[in-house]
Formats: sequence, structure tokens, C-alpha cells
Amino acid sequence: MPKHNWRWWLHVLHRDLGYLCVGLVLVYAISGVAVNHVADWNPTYRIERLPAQIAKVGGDDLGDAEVARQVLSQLQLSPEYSTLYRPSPTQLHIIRPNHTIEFDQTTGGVVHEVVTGRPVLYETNQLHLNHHKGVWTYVADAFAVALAFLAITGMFLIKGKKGLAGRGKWLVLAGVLLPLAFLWLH
Amino acid sequence: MKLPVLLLSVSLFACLPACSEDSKAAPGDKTVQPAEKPKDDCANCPDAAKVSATPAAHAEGLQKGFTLADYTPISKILAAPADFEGKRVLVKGEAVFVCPTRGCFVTLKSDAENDKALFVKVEDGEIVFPATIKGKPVEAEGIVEKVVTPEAKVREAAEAKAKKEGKEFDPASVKGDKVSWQLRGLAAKF
Repeated sequence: MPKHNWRWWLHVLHRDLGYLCVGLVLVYAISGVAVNHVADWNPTYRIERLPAQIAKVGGDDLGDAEVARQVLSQLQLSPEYSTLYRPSPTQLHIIRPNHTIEFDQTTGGVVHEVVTGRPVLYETNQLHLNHHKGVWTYVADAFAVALAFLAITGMFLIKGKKGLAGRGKWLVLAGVLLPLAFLWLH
Repeated sequence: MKLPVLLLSVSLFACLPACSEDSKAAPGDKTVQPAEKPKDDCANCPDAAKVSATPAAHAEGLQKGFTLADYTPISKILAAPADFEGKRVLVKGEAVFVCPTRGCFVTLKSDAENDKALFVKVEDGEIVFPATIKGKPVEAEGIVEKVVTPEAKVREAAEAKAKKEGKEFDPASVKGDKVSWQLRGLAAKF
């Protein structure tokens, strides 16, 4: 009866674990690119600023709550809000969940600032950045171990001149030297 | 042997123009414990040009995480910020503004007035305030510090703002350095 050698088992484990990791590799890859460019954009939320115009509201005698009530009424929105804020004497911000109404009392100008999660990226970033904590921390740790396993076993899958003993060792060396050189340079 | 040498050379060459900006994102949720290495490079944030004038904020020995139990009213700090300079305080307030790109600062409304708020700045990437926390209560602990923005930078920012809003800008309207106060956040909970 033929006996499977260690390389056979390596192939099996590498293959099956590789299949298992496809989903999470894609999650981390997509999220990784997005958050790597955090200097250029918000990778998780889309923040839109939409202008509008209503009639001027208020004077010195009107309190902020009444101004807010009239603004919301003109905009045909429900009267609820989380809080009010005056960044300047002529501006009132009506802050609602994921929606801020910036009202200019001198012109009646309104800017709706609306915050929405970016499709796909919101979810992948939640996982990648471990926002949920708890059990996901252990799942992420297990995934990291799996990736390390795939990396190590991958080196020994192929025999001969295209394997680790041949050109493989140079490619591994290049891959290790790249981050080391960057760290050394910076 | 040509292929390996070529690959090695390409690898080393690729390092030379490598990005120098740290864009690591942080967990940004619930209670977070920031690391101690200071770095403030949010180019999109309005206070990017400011220079801290309070040495205690970056002194060694700052403790991580929440260490205080008693809240200091934001109104009290805003009324006499110099009395709190360099001191570690715990504050609580509703978020009325959040950094739209990196989530590296939040402005917390005063408990007493609608038109006053405390600016809370954290190290980029160590604590990330999500854009969805506007209007929600936030707790932050940190050091009160004075920030002095040089006149030239104030003028530059005012000119850029006027240009963005399509308004005329009068350079003479900016006189002297701008002094403001902020909380250098070391821990936050939301």
C-alpha cells in the first residue's frame, strides 16, 4: 500500500487551508488597500455635503431650539435631533444621527452633511480593524496563524530547480529583504 | 543566476522611493489605549499647522488609558483654560464635529452653552473617531494644552477658507499669532 509522504500531506493541508482562507484574504486585501490610503480619503464612511435653501429663520429673540424647530419644519423633517451647536453667531448646526444640518441664519442657506458607510468597505474595515473585538479577535488570530502556515508550507511544495532549493530561495530572500531594506532606510 | 540577482536588485531599488507616511488605521471603537509614540500628521485637519506650546503634553511618563474618575466640566476648562494648562483632565460632552478623513480629532460641546466647545486632538491612527459619533456623548481624558498658530499660518488658512467660500480676503484682518486651547487626548470612549 503506498504510503503518503510528508510532502503529500503538505499539499493537502496547504490546499485545503488555502481554500478556507480565500474569503478572509480578500477581506483583508480590499480593506488593506482602502485604509492604506487613509491620508487621501475616509475609507469607511462617505460624507456628502448637499446644499439647500430655505427661508431665513430667527432673530436675536428666538432661542436655538425654536430656530431648529422652524428649520426642520421647513425642511419637512421630524423635529427630533441629538444636539445643537453654534460654531458662529450666525450659524446653527442641528445634529441628528448621521445627518447634520448646517443652517446659515443670514442667508437661509442650508448644507446637509450626510454620513453613510461605504458599501463593502464599511464591512471589510470592521473586520480588518477588529471593531467588534470579542470572539473576532480569536478568529483574526487564527487567520494570521493560517497565513503563516500557508507561507511556510508553500516554500516546500515544489521540488527541484523551481523549488526552495532552486530559484525559490532567491525569491524568498528578495521578499524578506524588501521590508528589511525599507526599515533600514527609514 | 541572472534572475535571482535581478530580483534582488529590483527589490532593493523598490525601497528607495518608499512611502514615508504612516497611514495605519487604529481600532477606532469603544475604549482604546493609545501607544505613546507621538505623531501628528493629519494634513487634512484644520490644526495641522499648529504648534503646541505646552511641553507637558509630550513629556515622558504619561499614563495610557483612563486614570481619572471625576469629570471636569468642559465649561470650567473653557472659562479659564490657563488654569488647566498641562493638567490631565477627564471630560465628557456631545461630539459636534469630527475629523472627516482620519478621525483624529473631535470637538465636544460645552455642558453650559451651545456656542462653546473643546477641541480634542489625538495621535493619528492611535485613536480614530468614527464619523458617525456626531451628536453622541464622548468621554476623553488627556492634557490641556495651549496651541499657538503663527500669524503667517493663520493668514494662509484664512485665505484658503475665503477662497473656498468664494469670499474676498483681507490680509490685514489677521493680526498676530492665534492662541487656542485643546485637549491632547490620551484615551477616549464612545
